[in-house]
Amino acid sequence: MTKERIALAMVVVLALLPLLFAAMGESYYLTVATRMMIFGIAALSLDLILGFGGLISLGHAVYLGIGGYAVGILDFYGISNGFVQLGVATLASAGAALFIGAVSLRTSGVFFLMITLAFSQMVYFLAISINSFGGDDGLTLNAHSDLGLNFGNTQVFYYFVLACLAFFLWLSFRIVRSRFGMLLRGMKFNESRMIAIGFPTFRYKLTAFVISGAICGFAGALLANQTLFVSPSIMQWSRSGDLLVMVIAGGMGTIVGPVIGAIMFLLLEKVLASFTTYWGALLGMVLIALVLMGKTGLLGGMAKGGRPHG
Amino acid sequence: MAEPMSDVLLETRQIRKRYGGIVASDGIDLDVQRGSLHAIIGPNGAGKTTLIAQLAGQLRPDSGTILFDGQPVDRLPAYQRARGGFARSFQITNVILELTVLDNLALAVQAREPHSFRFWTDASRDPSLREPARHVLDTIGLSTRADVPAGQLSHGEKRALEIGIALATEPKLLLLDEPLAGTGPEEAARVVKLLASIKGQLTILMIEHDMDAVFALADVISVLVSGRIIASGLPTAIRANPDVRRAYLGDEGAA
Ligand SMILES: Nc1ncnc2c1ncn2[C@@H]1O[C@H](COP(=O)(O)OP(=O)(O)O)[C@@H](O)[C@H]1O
Ligand SMILES: [Mg+2]
Repeated sequence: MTKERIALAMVVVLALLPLLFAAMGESYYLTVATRMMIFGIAALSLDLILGFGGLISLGHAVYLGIGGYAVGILDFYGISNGFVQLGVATLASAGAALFIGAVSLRTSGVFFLMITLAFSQMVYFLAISINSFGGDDGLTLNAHSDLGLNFGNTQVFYYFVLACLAFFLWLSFRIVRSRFGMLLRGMKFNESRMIAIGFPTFRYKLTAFVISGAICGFAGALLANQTLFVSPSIMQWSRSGDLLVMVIAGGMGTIVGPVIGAIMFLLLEKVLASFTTYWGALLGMVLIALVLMGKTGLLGGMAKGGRPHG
Repeated sequence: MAEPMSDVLLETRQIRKRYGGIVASDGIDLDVQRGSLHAIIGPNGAGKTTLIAQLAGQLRPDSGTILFDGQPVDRLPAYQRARGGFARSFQITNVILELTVLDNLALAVQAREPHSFRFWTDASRDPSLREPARHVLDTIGLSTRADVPAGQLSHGEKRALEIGIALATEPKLLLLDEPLAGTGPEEAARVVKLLASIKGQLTILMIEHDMDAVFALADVISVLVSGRIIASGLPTAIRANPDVRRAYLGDEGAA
């Protein structure tokens, strides 16, 4: 099965899921599934730079935070227009990614990891220290983003998030197959050769970084809408680690794998947490098992037969 | 300033480069005639790879100047030199092992375009990339290997692809760093044949150890020893030059 088919199948299953939950009378599951899809978008955005660009960012959750706070702060000042809120969330995250990328992309490997972590920690502590926006306690929203849709209805919000997920899947598949995507892959495997044949690689890496940050910021705005709440913990560094795990376990460089990785991750988190308070350790073991099963992650094994890296 | 119509495509003046105590380039003056195949020979550690890297822009000389088509390129980064018509191959094969042979070449074709901020069309189906890439594929004799990941090629095939990537950028000047490195006799013959087929279509500066290949292909030969050009001239003259024989050719010169 190609990755596009897997993605399509997944979207179809997700579209039918609410019917199943309704039949079971378990509407709470819908909220859980919505959260999974939002993290799916965030993981997909990380895959663009990690799986295709080879950039291991340990600060990606910062864009969840920036997107979430953009919505929260606009709401705080009484601006509830959803187009403005989602637009600002996306642009603010893109801007932050432009700045963070312009600095961090001059380094690589462990240094890149540390600088992205440092930036995300700076924003994290900034959020904690600004008391007018709730500081450590976080910021409660007055209302959902107003797009003319009733986001208070969990079904409506579920389908909106699903539509966003489907859109970003489609967008990402286009991007990675484009000239830009080919170049991104070339740089990941052999940057010096790409420079030697005439590509100014930095600006392309930075562009990928900005696109990735923007999508993740959009996911952050969705997250704020789901909980009507945003707090610094949304961008804790461990959250960035979770995103990395979702991408790696789901299958780097497959676009749809990380979405499945996000769903599995949150599912395991829920299931394991109901058995034991030491679920973190258990999750770690499951992940090690996953990685040992195949170094390319869940989808790495599943998506054979598709065009390589497509 | 050189004349724009000059027959010299590449000119270096007093290139110097030190690595700590080692002088890798000790005032190199070199003129490469347009359309020629100019070979540089010299023992291991003579500074041949260092010279190529300075020409292509991966390394900066400590001093000296490089003129390309009469214009100094000293300040241009490697990618701009590539866009201006330089291409190099590497002594140690430097292809993208994870991508297919055709993708490697298509990326090199793509590098000629003004920019790659193109996010929409499917690059792997775009004839404006694939057709020139296939053309190079034919030239380097790998038509049947188009969809094989480059990592699965034999060593000789990789050497051909290495040259193909450089060719696909449609350079004016091709810098080849030991194209025959590590090849067996059959593979070497194949690469020599490839080089003979492209010779004359563009200017080539080739570093090579294999004397048979050098004397078969080169129009001009320069001899680099300890970072200095000790002799430069026609193959017959180089073969007869007593300094060269003493310093480098040894018994092979008589062969
Ligand atoms: N990065 C480096 N650092 C220190 N010394 C180097 C470096 N690269 C090359 N050298 C030295 O410079 C000299 C020339 O090297 P090189 O240009 O690779 O020679 P060649 O290609 O002719 O074999 C050698 O003595 C080599 O050891
Ligand atoms: Mg060398």
